[in-house]
Amino acid sequence: MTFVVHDPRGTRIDPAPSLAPRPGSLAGLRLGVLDNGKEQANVLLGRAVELLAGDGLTPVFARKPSFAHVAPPEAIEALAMCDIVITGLGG
Amino acid sequence: MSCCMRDAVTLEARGIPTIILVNDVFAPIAHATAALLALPADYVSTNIVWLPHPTSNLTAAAAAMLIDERIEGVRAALLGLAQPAPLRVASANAASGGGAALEEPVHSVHHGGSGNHSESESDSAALALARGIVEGLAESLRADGADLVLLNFGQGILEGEVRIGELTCDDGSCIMPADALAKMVEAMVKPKVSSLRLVTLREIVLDR
Amino acid sequence: MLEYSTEAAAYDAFVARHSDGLPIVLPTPDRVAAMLAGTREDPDDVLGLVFPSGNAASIRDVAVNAVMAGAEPRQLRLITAILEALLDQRFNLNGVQSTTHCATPLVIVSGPLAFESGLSAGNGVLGNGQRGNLAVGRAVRLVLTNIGGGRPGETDMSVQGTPAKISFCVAERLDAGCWPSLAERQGGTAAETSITVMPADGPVTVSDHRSATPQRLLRNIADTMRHIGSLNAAIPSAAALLLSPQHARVIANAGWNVADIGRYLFEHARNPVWRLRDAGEWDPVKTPSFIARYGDPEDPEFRVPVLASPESLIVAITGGDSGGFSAVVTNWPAGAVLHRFVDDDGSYSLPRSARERVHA
Repeated sequence: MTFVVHDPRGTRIDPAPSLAPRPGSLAGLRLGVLDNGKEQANVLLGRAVELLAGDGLTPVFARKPSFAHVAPPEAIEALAMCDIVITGLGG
Repeated sequence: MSCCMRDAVTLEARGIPTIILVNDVFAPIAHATAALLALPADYVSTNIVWLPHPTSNLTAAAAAMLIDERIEGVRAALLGLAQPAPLRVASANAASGGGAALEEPVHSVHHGGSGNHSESESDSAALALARGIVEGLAESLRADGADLVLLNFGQGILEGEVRIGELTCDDGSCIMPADALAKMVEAMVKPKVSSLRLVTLREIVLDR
Repeated sequence: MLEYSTEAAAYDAFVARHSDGLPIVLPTPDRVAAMLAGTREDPDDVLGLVFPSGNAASIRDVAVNAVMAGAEPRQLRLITAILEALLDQRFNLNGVQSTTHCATPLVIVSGPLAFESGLSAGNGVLGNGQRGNLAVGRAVRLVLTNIGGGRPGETDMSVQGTPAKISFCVAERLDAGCWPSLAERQGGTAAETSITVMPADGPVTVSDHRSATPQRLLRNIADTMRHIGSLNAAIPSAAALLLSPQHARVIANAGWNVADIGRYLFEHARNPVWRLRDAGEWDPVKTPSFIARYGDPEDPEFRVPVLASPESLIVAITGGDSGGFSAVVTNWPAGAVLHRFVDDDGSYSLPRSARERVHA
């Protein structure tokens, strides 16, 4: 004898996300920089970009108008032309 | 946290590896969000670079030093290599012990719904069909300075955008709200696409 | 469906994993079927995707959580209408559910269906003892956490939370005789019922038993509404004013209406720039659109409004007749205020006369 109840969690619709393959080296890559607008995000990301320039990375900058929303399509389109992206700040 | 991670998922789906700078106090949130989004078990340990919290009140020099100390970790994350774990321990919300362990239920057949579909060929065909069905509606929107673009069909969800440009009316009243348009599209498409469960339309205001 | 070895095992698991910390009613097939009698909608219909998880919520899924909350079948239509508004992307549920701020939806139900569904608008409306208000608000919150995944310490980063995250739902008094109801002001008839949602902080009390003019009463309310520490002080946006009938009559007896209240509070619920700078809340870079909309902050006479416009204030009359107390509810500004109407077949929105720019 078992006790049966409905599942309150709804239905997962999105398939599990797939991750892009990682590069073997950083030299010559275009680095997208997505600043979410949180305090100091631009300073911290900016410093990372300065240091990574020495690795041969070329930056492409995009800023979110609001850290409380996902990135707008125009920011995603700009970053989609890059090879790798760094974003922040989470939290 | 979920906004940053969602952005990362969007970019990964476009083939762009993405790493995130996160304040370490949010480590439990990062793990929970990654689990919620069904990201792989090692996602957090390889794609997040931890910064000591708080960062909002740092001087520029202190902020630069923080990054200088962690730039090796940033490089490693960009290459998909594991990161050191954050120093912070689990949050105060961690469930304490005591009492009997909770039972894990057996999942029987999910009631209702037609189940997940993963037939990408028929999804493409359904999307093409839906686009044809709504073309007349899209044309009337274009006459008013807007547009309706259906972008994706999968798992029964039809996604699209209502793009607002230079409208022919001043106050926007010539265009139905996106939620009402979504219901209209659902009513038009469902008779021909039986697997349709939901229409979601994002409203995009185009820069003039 | 989930199968457990015993009812007790099911109950322990549900309270630990799927509740708001309080006891719940187990969603057995019989109870969910009885709850679904409260709607004519197809139980398999999907209301939308609930973020941050992005899981789909069907009418049945909502009924399951409504049972757990202790709601009644006659409340299901309201609950699904509230969720349709919350799942509108403009509400930004993803943001509301995961912010470090104490944000939670405020729900105001205005119209006859509120009372037919067992909601209350009299004494103690914001607190305990309001079975209908609490059950409807709680059902909504359980959907948000069980389906959407916004759980404190996991994906909900709210540092302190608020009691309003258990339930925050009120009905509007329709008998105060002051001005048309919130539903009517949204374009509905007296027979229609609207729900209004706003991403909100918890309520703040304004006690005022002496003011006999709208100006003095509203200046006192303005003083609370502009408090440093609310996000409104930093960002002109929306707010709700839950007026007790006694306060509403002070205003209406002077011939004022809701538009007058909005205009007065837009002008008077403001902070001088020096006060914001002193509090560290002043962003020195102001855009041309800010200057065009609100005025030049370099002008020493300039005072920054907490409301984006007079129409950004939501006014509803609620509470008992026995005193001069009102509640100010400031907002979490990265999500929009939305209204929907409710009927037997679901919910609907009326055409809007002005389009707002939204973040994509």
